[in-house]
Amino acid sequence: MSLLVVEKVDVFYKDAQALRQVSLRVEEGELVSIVGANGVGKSTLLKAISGLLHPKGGRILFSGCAIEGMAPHQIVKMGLIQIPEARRLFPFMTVQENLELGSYNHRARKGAKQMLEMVFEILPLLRERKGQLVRSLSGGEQQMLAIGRGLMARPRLLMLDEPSLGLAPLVVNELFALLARIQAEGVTILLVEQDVRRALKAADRGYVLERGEVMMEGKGQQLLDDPAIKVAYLGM
Amino acid sequence: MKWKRIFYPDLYIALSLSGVASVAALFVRNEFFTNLVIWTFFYASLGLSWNLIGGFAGQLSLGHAAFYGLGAYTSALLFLHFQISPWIGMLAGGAVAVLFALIIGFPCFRLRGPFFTLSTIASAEVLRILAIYFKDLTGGSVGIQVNVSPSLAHFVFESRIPYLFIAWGILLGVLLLSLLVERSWLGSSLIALREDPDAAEALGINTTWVKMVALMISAFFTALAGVFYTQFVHFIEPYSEFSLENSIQFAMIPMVGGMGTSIGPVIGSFILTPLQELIRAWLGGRFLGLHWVAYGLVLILVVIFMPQGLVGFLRARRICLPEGWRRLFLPLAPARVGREMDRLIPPSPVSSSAQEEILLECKGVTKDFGGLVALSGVDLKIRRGEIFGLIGPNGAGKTTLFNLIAGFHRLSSGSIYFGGQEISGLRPPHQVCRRGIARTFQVVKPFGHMSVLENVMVGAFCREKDPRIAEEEALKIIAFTGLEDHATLPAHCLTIADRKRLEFARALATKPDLLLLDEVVAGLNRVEAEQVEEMIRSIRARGITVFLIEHVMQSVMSLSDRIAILHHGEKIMEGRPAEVACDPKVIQAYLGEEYVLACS
Amino acid sequence: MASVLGQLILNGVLLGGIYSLISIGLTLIFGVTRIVNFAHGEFLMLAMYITFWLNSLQGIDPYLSFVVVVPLLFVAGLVAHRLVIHPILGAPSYMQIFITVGLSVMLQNLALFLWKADFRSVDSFCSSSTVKIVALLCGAPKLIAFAASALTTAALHLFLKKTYLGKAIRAVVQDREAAQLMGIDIHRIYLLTFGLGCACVGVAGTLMAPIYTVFPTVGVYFVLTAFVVVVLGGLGSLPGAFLGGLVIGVVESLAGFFVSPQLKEAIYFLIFLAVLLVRPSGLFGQIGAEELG
Repeated sequence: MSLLVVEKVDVFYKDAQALRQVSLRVEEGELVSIVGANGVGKSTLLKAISGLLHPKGGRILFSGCAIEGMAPHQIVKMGLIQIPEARRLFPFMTVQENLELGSYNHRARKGAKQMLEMVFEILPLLRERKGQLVRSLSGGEQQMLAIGRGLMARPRLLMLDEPSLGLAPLVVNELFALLARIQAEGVTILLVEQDVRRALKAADRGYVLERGEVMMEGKGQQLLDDPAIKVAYLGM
Repeated sequence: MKWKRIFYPDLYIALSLSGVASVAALFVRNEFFTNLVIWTFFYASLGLSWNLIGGFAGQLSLGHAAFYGLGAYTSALLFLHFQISPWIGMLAGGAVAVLFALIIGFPCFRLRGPFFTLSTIASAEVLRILAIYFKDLTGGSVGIQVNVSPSLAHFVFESRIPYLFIAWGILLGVLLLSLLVERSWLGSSLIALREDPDAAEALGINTTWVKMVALMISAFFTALAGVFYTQFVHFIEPYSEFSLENSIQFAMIPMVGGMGTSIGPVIGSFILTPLQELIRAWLGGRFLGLHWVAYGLVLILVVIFMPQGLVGFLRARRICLPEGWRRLFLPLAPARVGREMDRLIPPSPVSSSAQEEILLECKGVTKDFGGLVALSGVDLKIRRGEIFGLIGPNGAGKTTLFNLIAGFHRLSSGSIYFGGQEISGLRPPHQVCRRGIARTFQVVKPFGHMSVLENVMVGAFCREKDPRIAEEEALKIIAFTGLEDHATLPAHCLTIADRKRLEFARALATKPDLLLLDEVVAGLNRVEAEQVEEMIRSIRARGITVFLIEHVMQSVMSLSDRIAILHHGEKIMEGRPAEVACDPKVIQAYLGEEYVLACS
Repeated sequence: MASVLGQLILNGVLLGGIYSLISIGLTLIFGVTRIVNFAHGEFLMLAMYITFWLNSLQGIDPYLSFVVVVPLLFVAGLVAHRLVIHPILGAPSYMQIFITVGLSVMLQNLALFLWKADFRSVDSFCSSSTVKIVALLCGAPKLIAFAASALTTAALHLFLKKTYLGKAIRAVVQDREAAQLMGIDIHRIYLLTFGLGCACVGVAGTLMAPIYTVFPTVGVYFVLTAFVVVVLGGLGSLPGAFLGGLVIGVVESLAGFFVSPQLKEAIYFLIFLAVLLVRPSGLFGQIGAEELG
C-alpha cells in the first residue's frame, strides 16, 4: 500500500480550476519530486493534500485513510507534514519557539525534548541561534529552521514547497544534502521544486505538471534525460 | 432612449408606497397614524442619505448623528439668536455639516473597515461632549426649546398635515437624488470602490475624492433631517442629537431594507419604523428597553440570514436568470450589437514612423521592501505599437514592476517615463490611468455585484462622464471581447475565462495607450488562450501598445515582438522570442544549472 | 504643585491599570480573530452586574466574587463566540460590524429591561479605606484594582509565553495558515481566545464594581476608551494594551484637572483620531493590521 495516493483530484482556487484529474502516489521511503512551470498548480496540490484547500472531486489517501475534506490539524496529527512555500516561520518568535511549535500536535509532543536534541544535532546552527528572533536569520538559515520545525512534527511524510526559492546555489547544495539525510532516516519526502535538475536528480520518481495536469511521470533520472521536459518549460 | 427607463420601478414603488401612506393619513385623521407616517418618511430620508456613503460606497459610518446634530443645532441657534428662519437655517445647517464632513472625511477615509467606523463614532462623540461643554452656546445638557408661534416662516405648524407634506417632499427629493447618483458616473464609481478599491483606482477613479463627495452630500441631507426634527419636536439636546443610538438607527434602515439600492432604505423604513413605534407604544412604558432588544436581535438575524437586506435578497433571486427575464427587471438593457469589430472600432495600426517612438521607459528601476530587494536596476524600453513580454520565475519581481508603473507602489530609486513624461512616483493609481496606462490584475478583480455592462462602464466613465455615451462605448468593447451574451449578467456569475475577458474589456474601456496585462492567459485551456491571443493582436492593430506578464510560454512566444526576462529582480536578458528561448542564462534561470539545450 | 501633579499621575496610573485590563481582552480577541468586537463593553457590564447581584442578594464581597464571575464570563464568551462570532468569521467587515453592534444593543437593553436604569453601587470591606504611598493618597479599591490588573496581565503574559496553548495563540496571530500546518486547530483557538478575552473583562468588572456605579450603558463608555487604548498600544499587542492603558489613564487624569473634567473624554478621542491618522499600527502593533476589514 502506498503511503500517499492522490486519485483524480480536481481543485479550484478562487473559481478557477487549478488542478485537473491529478493522480500520483508516493511509496514509503521514497523521495518524489513534482516539477513544472510557475502557476501550474504545484503549491495548490500541496495545499489540497494538507487540507488547506478541499478538492471538488477525487480522493486523497494517506496510509489507506481518506483525508480529503479533513481539517488541516487532523492531517498533521497523522504525520503528514508540510513545509510551506516561503517558509512561513512565526516572525515574532525565537528559533526555539518555532521549533517547539513544530511538535504541537499530540503525536509529536511526547518525545519533543528528544526530537529537539536530534534536530540540533542535525542542524547545529540552530542550536547556536536558538534564542534569536527569526527575522535576524538569513534566508538559508530560515529554510533550515523551517525544515527543523517540520522534523519536530515527527513526519511520516514530509512535503516541501519550493525550498530552494531565493537561496544561493551553495546553500541549495546543503539543502539537498539535508534532504538525503532525512530520507536516510526513514522519512518519506514529497518535493515540489522549481530547480528541475536538482529536484529530479535527487528523486526516486518524479511528476511533471503542466496547466494543472500531470503531463509526465517516471523515474527521476529518466525524466531528467527526456527532451520533452524542455518543451513543457519553454513552450517550444 | 434607454435611459428614460431608469426610474422604473424604484421610483414608482416609492411613490406608490408614500402616496398611499399620505392619502391614508389624510383620510384617517388619527394623530398617532399621521405621526407614524411622518416618522416613516423621516427615517427613510435619513436612511437614503446614509446609504449614499454607507451603502453605495460601503463606508460604514456610525457617526452620522454628528451631521444630524450639527444641522439641528445650527438652525436652532440661528433662529434663537438671530431670528433667522429655519428654512434658511436648513441650508446653513447643511453647510456646517458639509464642512464637518470635509474636516473629518480626509483623515477618517484613510482607514478601512471597522477602523473607519470607530473613527466616525469618535467624531460624533467629540461633538456630543463639546455640545454639553459649551453650555452657554448650546444650553448644555438642558438643551434648547423651540417655543414659537406657528407660521410658515417659522417652520412651525399647528396641525401635523403640513409636516407630513414637508417630510414627503424631503423624502422624494432625497430619493430622486439617490436615483440620479446611482445611475451617474458618481454612483458607478462609488459602487466600484466598494467592490474593489484597487481595481477602481486602476480604472481612473479618484477614490478619496469620490468618497468625500458622497460623504458631503450625505452630510447635507442628514443635517436637513436634523432641522426637520427640531421643528417637529420643538426640543433638542445633545444626547438625542449626537448619540450613537441615532447613528445606529440611520444605518439599520438601509441594512434591513437593502444597502446600496435606492429603494432599499425606503422599504427598510416602511418596515422598521412602524415596527418600532408599535413596539414602543405597546411595551414602552412598562418594559423599558425591550424594543431595542428586539431591534438588536433583528439586526443580528438580518446580518446572518439576509446580509444584503430585503431588496438585495429579492434581487438575488433574479440573478443568473435567462436573458429575457433579466431584461425585464434590470434597468439597463443593451441593444443588440453585432460583432462587426471593424465597424465598431476601426483598425488603426501604428504607423512605422510612430513605431520608433519609445512609449514606456524604465531607467534603473529599483524597489526594496524594507530589506527584501524586489527589483534592482531594471532598464526597459517599450516602443509604441509593440507587444512586449515579461517572463521570469516566481518571485522574480514581475508584478512588482507593474505595480510600480501603475502607481500602486513607490519607487525606491530609478525613474519611469511614459510618452516622454516622467511618471515615477505618480500616485495614487488613478492618475496613471488618466495618463493612458491601463492594467489588469493577476488575480482578477471583477466588481461582483455589478453587471458586465456596468463593470465595463466603470472603465468608460474614465473618459466620458455622460452615462449614455459611456454605455455606447462599453457596448462596443463588450462586443469586441465577445461578452455580449452576458452583458446584463452580474459579474460574479461569470466563468474564470469570461472574468479574464471582463478584466480585459474594462481596462480597454479606459482608452489606454499602453495596456499592462498580468497573466491574462493563465488558467485558461488552449482554445480560450488562443482567443485571448487573438484579441491581444486585434488591439495592437488598433494602436494600443501591450506589455504583458505571462507564465504560459506558448502564448508569450507566439505573441511577443520582444521579451525580457527577470530573475531575482534583475533583467537578465532581452530580445526576440527565438533568441531568448535558446539563451543559456534563461535556461539556467528556469530549469536550473547546467541544463544544456540544443537549439535549432 | 509637585504633590498635586504626583497625585494626578498616581490617580492616572491606577485608573490606567483598569483600562488596561479591559483592553487586554479586546486586543487579544482582535489579534487572533481579526474581529473588532463592538459588544466588548457589554461583557464588562455583565460582570459588574453579576458582582452587584452577588453582593446585594448574598452579601458576598466583590473581591470574593471573582471565583464566580470570571468562570461565568469565560463561558459567556464561549457561547457568544459560537452563536454570534463563528458564523461571520470570514464575512465582509460590514457584517462583522453590524452583528457585534446588534449584540451590543441587545445586551444593553436586555439589562435595561431586566434591571432598570437605576444606578447601583457595590460596597466592599475596604471601600472607604485609603492607603498612603509616600506622600500620596489613594483609595484602597483603586489600588487593589491596579494590583490585580497588573497581576492578571503578568499571568496572561506568562501563559502566552510559556505554555503550548499560549504559544499556539501567538502563532495564530502571526500566521494563521502556518499555524494550521503545525497541527493547531484554529477554530478551537478562536473559541478559547474569545472566552479568555471575556474572562479578562470579568476580572475587570469585579474590580470596578466597588469603584464605579453600575448601570446598563456603563459598557459603552468604557468600550470606547478600550478601543482608544487598543489602537494606541497596537492591535494584538498585550504589552501595548497595558502601556496604552496607563498612558490614557494618566492623560485623562491630567486633562481632567488642567483642562476640564467634562472635556477629558474629548481629549482622548482626539488622541485616538490622531493615532489613527499618524501611526495606525500603534506603539507595538503589527503594521497593516488596521488595514484589515
